[in-house]
Amino acid sequence: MPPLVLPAQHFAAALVWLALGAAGLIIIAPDLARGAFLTPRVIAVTHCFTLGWITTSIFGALYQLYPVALGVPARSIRVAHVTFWALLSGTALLVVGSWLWSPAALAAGWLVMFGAVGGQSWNVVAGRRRATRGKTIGLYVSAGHMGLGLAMFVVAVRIGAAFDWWSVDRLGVLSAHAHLAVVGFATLTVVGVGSKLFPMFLLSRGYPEWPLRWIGPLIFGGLVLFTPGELMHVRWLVVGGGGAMALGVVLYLALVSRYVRTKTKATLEPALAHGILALAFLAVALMLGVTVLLRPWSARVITAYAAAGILGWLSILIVGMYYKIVPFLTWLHWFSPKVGQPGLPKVADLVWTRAIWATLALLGAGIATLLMGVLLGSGNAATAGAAAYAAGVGLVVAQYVRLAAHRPAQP
Amino acid sequence: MNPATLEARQQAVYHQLRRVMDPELGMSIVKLGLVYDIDVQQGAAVVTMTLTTPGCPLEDAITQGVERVVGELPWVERVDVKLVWHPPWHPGMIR
Repeated sequence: MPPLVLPAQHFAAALVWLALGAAGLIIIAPDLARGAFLTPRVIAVTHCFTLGWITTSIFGALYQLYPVALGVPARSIRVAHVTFWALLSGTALLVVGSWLWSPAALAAGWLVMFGAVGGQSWNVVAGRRRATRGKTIGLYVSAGHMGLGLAMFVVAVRIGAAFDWWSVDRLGVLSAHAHLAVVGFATLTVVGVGSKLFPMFLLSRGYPEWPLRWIGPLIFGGLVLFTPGELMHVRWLVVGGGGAMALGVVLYLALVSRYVRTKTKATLEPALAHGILALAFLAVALMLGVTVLLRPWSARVITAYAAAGILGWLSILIVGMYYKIVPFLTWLHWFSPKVGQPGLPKVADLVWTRAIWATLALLGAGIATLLMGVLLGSGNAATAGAAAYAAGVGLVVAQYVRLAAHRPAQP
Repeated sequence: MNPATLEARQQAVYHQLRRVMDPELGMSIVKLGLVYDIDVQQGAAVVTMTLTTPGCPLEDAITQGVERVVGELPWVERVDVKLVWHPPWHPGMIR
């Protein structure tokens, strides 16, 4: 297993980005309600979530997961630390560069980020070839990193256009970039990692394995059609690729519903309830995505689609996974030498369950209100939703600050 | 060792193992069905067990916990924990 500090620094940085993103969301909510998704500050806040929160969390979690699920640790802890700092500084450059619309900062951020993704791929993802188990997870994570790499190359075209080196269709590039990153990288990685974590946490049994042989190829194959379709304006490629991705997502939703229906755990923990809520927003994003596919120029629907996918689906899911992973790592740190002693707390005892339910309510109500505000064009509703979402995020961050600051009572 | 003593000692080991909890699932390793066999020989106790998943991050904590609690029995001089992966654990093994 890696030293605790490695995932911990990723998770701490990711939580800071989540808080920054949530604060920024309140500022950009009126822009979102106008469907103005191309403004520099909307792009900046979006990257607080996509790179700062989601990607940093995934990178940190993979250091912990690969030794367990695939039997392969990171090749080098030193490279892992360098990669972390590259990821952190690359994200900061891209966020600041977007907010101030500085092509130089964007180009520098892209280069640093390229190093971070390359470092992570060499250090962790390439370990799939040495894996003794968990082949499916490894395939999904590798495919996800291919999606991330392609997303970076596609956006490099846009950065070049910002220098006036050439001209590109901004919407086509943006759509290809966003789908490669959010669907190709993050969603494929979550599907792969979730194929182990969901059944494990729910104690599911008797669920089918075969959908995983189709979900990945449908989503990745869909992206292979969709991306050139968007870049070259070939409508049938866009519709065909989008349709394949949608089918893959439908199959995934069906698979997770089987995990839930075959669970042997009597109660649904609040952490996993976050996962269920996130899946509900994935279904919402799916419906909005199909609408966008059929009516491509509805700016507010496009904005709502992206918000449902990034803020509803991925962000809430990762908040839920944190409630499982971070207290567990904290428990291991403080209590693993004391197993067998009476009075030892459970992992769930380290966090305040009512606060977790409260974050679920705030995040769920917040994003639902935000989406309604965006779809109806109401800046006030969007801002109210963003404020509720930010309050939920504040509660999430407060829990971890408390967990980090207070040594738990020893038995 | 006569059969009655053997049985009593095996039960004593099981009793001790009920103190070793999986902190994530909140159940003892006995209730979870992780303990496959207990062999008692003079001063030695051999616990054959599994974990919920290969590479479980709790491996060291649980095996050391087993060694500790079984080692508290007055007649135990040595504890061997044998981790096996066949048959693989599944939720249907929870008692």
